[in-house]
Amino acid sequence: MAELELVNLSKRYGKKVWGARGINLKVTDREFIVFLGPSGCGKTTTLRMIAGLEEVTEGRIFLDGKDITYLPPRFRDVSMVFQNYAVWPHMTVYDNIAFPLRMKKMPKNEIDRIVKEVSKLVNIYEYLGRYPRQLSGGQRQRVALARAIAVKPKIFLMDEPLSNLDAKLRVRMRTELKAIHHKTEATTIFVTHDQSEAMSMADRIVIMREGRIEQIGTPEEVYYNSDNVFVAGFIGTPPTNFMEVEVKTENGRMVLLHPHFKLELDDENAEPLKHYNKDKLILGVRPESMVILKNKDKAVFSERILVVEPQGSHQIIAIEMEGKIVKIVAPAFPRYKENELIHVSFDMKRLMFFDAETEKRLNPFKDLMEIQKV
Amino acid sequence: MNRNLILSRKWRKYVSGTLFYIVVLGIALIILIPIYFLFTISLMSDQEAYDWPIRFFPSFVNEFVLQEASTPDKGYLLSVYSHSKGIYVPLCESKDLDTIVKKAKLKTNSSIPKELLKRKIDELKDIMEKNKEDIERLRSKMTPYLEKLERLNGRISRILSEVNKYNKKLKLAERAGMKDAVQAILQKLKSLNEELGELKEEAKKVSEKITLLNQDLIPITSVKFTISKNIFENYITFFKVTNDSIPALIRSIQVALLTIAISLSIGGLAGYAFARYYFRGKNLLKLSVLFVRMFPGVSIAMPMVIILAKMGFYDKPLGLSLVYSVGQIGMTTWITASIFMGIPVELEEAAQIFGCSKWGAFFHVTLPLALPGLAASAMYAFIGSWSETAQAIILTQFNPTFPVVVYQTLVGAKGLVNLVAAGGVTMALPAIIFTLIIRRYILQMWGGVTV
Ligand SMILES: Nc1ncnc2c1ncn2[C@@H]1O[C@H](COP(=O)(O)OP(=O)(O)OP(=O)(O)O)[C@@H](O)[C@H]1O
Ligand SMILES: [Mg+2]
Repeated sequence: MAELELVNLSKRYGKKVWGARGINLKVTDREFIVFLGPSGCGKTTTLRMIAGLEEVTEGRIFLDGKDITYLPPRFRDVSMVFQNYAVWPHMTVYDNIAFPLRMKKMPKNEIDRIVKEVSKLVNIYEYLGRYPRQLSGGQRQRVALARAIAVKPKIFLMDEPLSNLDAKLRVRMRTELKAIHHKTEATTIFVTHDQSEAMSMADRIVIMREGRIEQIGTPEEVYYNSDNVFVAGFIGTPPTNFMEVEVKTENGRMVLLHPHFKLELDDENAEPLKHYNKDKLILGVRPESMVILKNKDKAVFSERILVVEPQGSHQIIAIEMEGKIVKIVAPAFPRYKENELIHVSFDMKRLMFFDAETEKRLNPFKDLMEIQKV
Repeated sequence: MNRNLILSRKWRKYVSGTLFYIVVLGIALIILIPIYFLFTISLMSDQEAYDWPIRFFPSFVNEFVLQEASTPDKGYLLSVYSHSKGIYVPLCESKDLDTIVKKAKLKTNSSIPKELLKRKIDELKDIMEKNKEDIERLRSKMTPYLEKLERLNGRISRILSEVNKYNKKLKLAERAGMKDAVQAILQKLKSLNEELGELKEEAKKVSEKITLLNQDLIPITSVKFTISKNIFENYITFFKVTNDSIPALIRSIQVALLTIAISLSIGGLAGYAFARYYFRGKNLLKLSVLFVRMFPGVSIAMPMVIILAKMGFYDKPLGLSLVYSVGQIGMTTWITASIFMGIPVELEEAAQIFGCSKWGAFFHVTLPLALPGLAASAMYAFIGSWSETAQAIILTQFNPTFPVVVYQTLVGAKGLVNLVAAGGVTMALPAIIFTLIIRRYILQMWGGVTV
């Protein structure tokens, strides 16, 4: 059982720089939480505060209801996998895994048993006698993992453990990590700035920006129900297309006016905008929510293609509107050519409206399950 | 065109390769030659050490020749073979055998047993008795030549002095601008030089004759014998002369080890602080740590005499090592700071997460990783304090350190180079041994790769 709660956790470096600010988060037992955000957003800072490596400026950390805010790291019952692994170069793989257990004054045969068991779990049993320098990056990473697992911590902290690996190995380790998590069922906080990593591994994703949490939610929630412009723009590749539009009412119907098109809203889409009284909003359309039509009749707008990027399974089409690049994901066939005129419409069920000033979402989807069915 | 290019590239490769090896060889020679000569000279006898050119290897035996002295009342003449000159050089003439033995030992590091010397004298007498007539004959043949040679030499020296005189006159005349006089003097010089040439020619012929006669004469008027040389004689002499040197050696080791302990513990901690913590004025402080090294050690030692005397550390190893540490700490701080900076903080943090306190992390992780560097700076401190003389002379009185003893010997020995060389090598020895011991840590490897 391990439940972690962060209350208003903040860290200030020097007088002005806030590494993390007002972090509130409740991690339930056995959960796999991923911190996601651009570089410098405070992921590492938060993680290090949980580990006890960084002094907390404000706020509290509770582990299973116990306040551990000012406890030294060794008494916290957490373990950590560092970005550069931090396996001790002067110890063999065996000693690296055994050292934390020796520090706990475990009996020798018990240590031996655990080391062997854990090393088999992460597939480094053959290398127990080697020194870290004699291992590849991926193997070293597994040593760090084994060391962290061996102590059976309440919380598992991982700071971009996969970022030093090549793309292929990264994907494989991702799967292995997930499998290990299923076996150990340890509560885990995983830091990354790679969103596909986050989407594929997380139970819940915590999206951060400039030291603050922007949204907490399951991968589906942050993807479909992005809380604000930042999250919508950060999650998904290629990112969401944003267009600033005017809100007007014509003949009793709500319309969105863009220099290139006029979009009439159906009731379902108009409903959340009833009480919106500003005359502009930000329309967000994901590239995969745009549809290329054969003829002009039902199209929202027509435009000439700027660039085509074939991706094998699909193709990404870029057009230019009002000086902004808008990207569309289309099936692999038919192949489009540059400068070709295409007719585009939107998937009306997936339109996202954001407040033009606060950038907050105006039309959260009510039922995610329903959206996924469609 | 293309062929030329390839050729020239090939040549360039050869030239640069050769140059590289020449440079490497040169560096090796520059480092090795002085050390090699110090070492060989320390193994040479007095007589060998002053020979020129100095031989590349010290000899292990001495070849002696025993003859009767020039006049019978002077006794016997002992000569030793000089390899560089290719002749036997006389060592001493004496009737007293003890004197001969002593002198031989002093000069050649060979102790000739008195019995042997007596036997050889008998042998010599024997030979001379047997070949009495031949000796007489040869000697009587030689006497006129010797006389003639003497006369010739006398004339040559007279003429030489005359030439000198005329040369001076010539200069005066030239300055005065007397052309006729100059002409006359030149004439005179010419004839003198001709005469000199003739005389020299004649003297050469005569001495050749004498050499020829000597070749017959020497084997029947002398005995040769070979005696092994005690190659470590200089070292024994050195320790005898400096009968205080064993305790001094021990004191020196004490001082060096204390210096290491003090400078490494204080400098190491300072280095760690510089590497791991940020604080105001860090860089300034880091620079000023080196400041003390800019003063000559002697100037620090002088005022220290009073302080140490008041604290009761004067003339004690601890006092000396305290003063040495002053200079060493700065260096150690710099070296260790860069070592600790090279060790990622994450390694320590990992240790903290996995059950260590801050100190525990330092001892379990950082210290073992820093060991090679710490060993290197320990060696640096050792060598620094080991060979230091100036401060030691000031700060000790009755309990000098080893370098002081060597220095005093050097001053007292009045140029007994081989003895000084032996002292020098003795001094280097503990430093070399220490380096060999510590080498294991400096070249510390984990899994075949240095950290
Ligand atoms: N020791 C420090 N002193 C001052 N500022 C710091 C320090 N450590 C981090 N910061 C600042 O705090 C902010 C958050 O840093 P943090 O390391 O948590 O970023 P991150 O989210 O882990 O980024 P990345 O993905 O690049 O690792 C950054 O703006 C950084 O400049
Ligand atoms: Mg980070």
